[in-house]
Amino acid sequence: MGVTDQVMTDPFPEEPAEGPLPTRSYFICSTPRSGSWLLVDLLRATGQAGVAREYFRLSPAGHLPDGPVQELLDQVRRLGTSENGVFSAKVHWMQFEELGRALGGGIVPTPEELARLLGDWFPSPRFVFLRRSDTDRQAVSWYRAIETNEWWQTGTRGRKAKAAAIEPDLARIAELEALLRDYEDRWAAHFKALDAEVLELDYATVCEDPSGTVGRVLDFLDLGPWDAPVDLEPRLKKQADDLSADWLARYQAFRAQEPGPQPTGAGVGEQSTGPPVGPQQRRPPVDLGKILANRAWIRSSHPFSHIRATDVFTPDYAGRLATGFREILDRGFGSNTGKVFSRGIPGYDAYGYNFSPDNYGPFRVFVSRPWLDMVSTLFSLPLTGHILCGLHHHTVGSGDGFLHHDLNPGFFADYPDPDGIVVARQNLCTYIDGTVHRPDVDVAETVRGVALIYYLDNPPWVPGDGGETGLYAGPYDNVKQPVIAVAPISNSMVLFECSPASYHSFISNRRSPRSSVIAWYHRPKEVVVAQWGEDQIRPHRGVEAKAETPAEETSPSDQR
Amino acid sequence: MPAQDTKVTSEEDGPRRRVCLLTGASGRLGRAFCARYAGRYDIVAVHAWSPLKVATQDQEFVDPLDTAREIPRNAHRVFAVRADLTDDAAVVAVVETALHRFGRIDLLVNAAAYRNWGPLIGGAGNVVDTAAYQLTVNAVVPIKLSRAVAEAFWTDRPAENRASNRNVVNLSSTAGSILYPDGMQSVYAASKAALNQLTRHMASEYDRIGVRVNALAPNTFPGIVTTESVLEALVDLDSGRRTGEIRIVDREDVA
Repeated sequence: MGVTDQVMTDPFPEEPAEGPLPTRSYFICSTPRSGSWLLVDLLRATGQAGVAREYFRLSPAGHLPDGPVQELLDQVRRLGTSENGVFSAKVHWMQFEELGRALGGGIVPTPEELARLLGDWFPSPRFVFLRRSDTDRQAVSWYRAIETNEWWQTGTRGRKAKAAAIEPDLARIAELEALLRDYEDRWAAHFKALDAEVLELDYATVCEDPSGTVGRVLDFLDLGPWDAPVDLEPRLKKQADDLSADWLARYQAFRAQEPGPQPTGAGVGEQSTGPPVGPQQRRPPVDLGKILANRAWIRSSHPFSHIRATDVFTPDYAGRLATGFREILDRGFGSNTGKVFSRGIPGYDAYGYNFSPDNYGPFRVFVSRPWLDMVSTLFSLPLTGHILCGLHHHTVGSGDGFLHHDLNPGFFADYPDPDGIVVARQNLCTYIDGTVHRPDVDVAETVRGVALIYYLDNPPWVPGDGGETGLYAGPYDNVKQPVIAVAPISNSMVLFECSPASYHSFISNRRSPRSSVIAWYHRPKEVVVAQWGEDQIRPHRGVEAKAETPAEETSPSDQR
Repeated sequence: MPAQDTKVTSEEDGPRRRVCLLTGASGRLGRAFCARYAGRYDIVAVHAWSPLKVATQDQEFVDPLDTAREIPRNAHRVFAVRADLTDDAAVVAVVETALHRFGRIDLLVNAAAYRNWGPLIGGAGNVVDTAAYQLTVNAVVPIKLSRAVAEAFWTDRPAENRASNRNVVNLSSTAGSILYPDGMQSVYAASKAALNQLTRHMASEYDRIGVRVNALAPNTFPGIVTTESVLEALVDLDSGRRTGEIRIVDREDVA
């Protein structure tokens, strides 16, 4: 799909016309449903502020149009430039990041490098940062647009019928809100790293004072003065209606009860000082006291230190986890990690699923600070806060695993985080071998400290069904004769300390599929080396072979 | 031997706790027995691969959000022994371990069982394929383990055994004497029928060494009968004087 095709999908599909080459340029930096089309339309109407469109729209698979990015940029810089030589484009964070990746030849460049690369095409770029303080409304709006495929409204035609038939998925809205906040954080971190000239605009102000907003942008671009029409009437209509209000109220009530994203009003100056690799500020609070059901877990030292618990969560929360799992499983199997279950765990007859860093939904509990602290206390182990969490699914008849102990390294793209939780971001750093996919990434090398397997969405289990997690006394035990076989009963769990003795394996499931959440909580490498020696830390299966091939994102690695 | 209702001094009345060697400790009855009676018996809890769900010498209950909190179920721990009792060496080792730990065995509860229901012809047919194993676990293992206890400890102590009211309880089933019309319990029922008859013969032979032998034959629990009623019958068999009894625990209109 070429740019010309793409821009036709905007609200104002005028025939694109090529302008002169730009002499100055700016980007309208936005997030979905932040009122960016509204701002674009107002600015285009001035005739002197460029011809902004969403030139870098991504395909459903998340890619820019096929072909060399240079061709795209050459086309875009003419299409987006008004007669006075001002270039403008509207761009969402994920598009901007993808553009950077394309310019960097597959690696996302540092903010400084990206500015230099973009400067070749767009002279002296400035940034207009459009954001909303009401991210809950924004998320509801985004969700509604996704579900109805109605992204804008220019007339007064009714549009409620389509949405009225929808029962809103409040947890999905929470995920979208978390995503919006993450995009904003990334923009903010980018600007901070660049020390760039940024004009920050709020959606509410754009709506309330369109003329004043246009004036501010033109001033910012040194284009004023501008004779604003007395009654500047935006062509785009506000889409929110009483149905939106109803969804918002329900969502706010949902969020008040559940671990979910919290509203934010943080400005650029309040952002993390870390590199723009996805800070995770404002993680939703998790109240374990409210969601844990059984408070008598079994802590055992035999055959090695582990904990078993049944009826872990309240039925309500366990149900949310099972539903969340099923929703992901129902997407089917494939190779698109982060979207669907995929195969590819070396030596392991199972499907794995990696969470996107900001899209854990109800599974966030397993990567929350209170949960980590609980695990640390239960095992009396200092843990670093680095966590890899995913899902496993064994179809019926999956073969026995092999005995292994999980004392493996874990590599993370490191970044400062207020509560010290660093989840794996394998698009930046491959967990199993530390391959870095972006030059500004700091890598933390840790070692697995505690492994977790939480069973969910499994049919009732009886002895003989298989699918247990076997715990063994030594590496040469018969996989079918563990010291302990932990049954994969839904809403139960086993946690164990990863040590040179923690031999375990999956035991073939003969009658039913087996599903689980898996997570590893890590500890400092030096502690492990001091305790057992470096040679006890085993590389992940297949890592040596991988060194010869390009690194790729892996599923939650290693078998359970 | 005539049945009597006189009860010996229980541990709740006196200082000496009875030592119980219990197999199938991770099963339904074993689990319930440990949870209910770990304060009254010193229990050697034998299990295969399924973990025990009670406090033992190497596991305890912990509140994940308040690890310092005392949990009452930790007050009485059982002594866990993992063993595959179809292995003759393991049978001997279990008895040695129990005697090493507690110095005696007052009650042997053979509750380990393998339950595989299914048709004899047609269907998956694996009830036939596993018949030998099912008969072994349910009928042969109890006589092997009982013999091992007798040879290691009881045989030379008939007077002491009588004084301590030592006995064996074999966990049978109503299926051992009733033909259920579901057509699925064949091998399982046969194993329990065998166990019933073995129990009677054991009672006859073990009388010589002062040890009583009974069977406990409940209907499905929990469900048709309560687990509590099965437990009560078990403790009643232990504290009573009867031997050679197949104690049915069933619905009142059947029993």
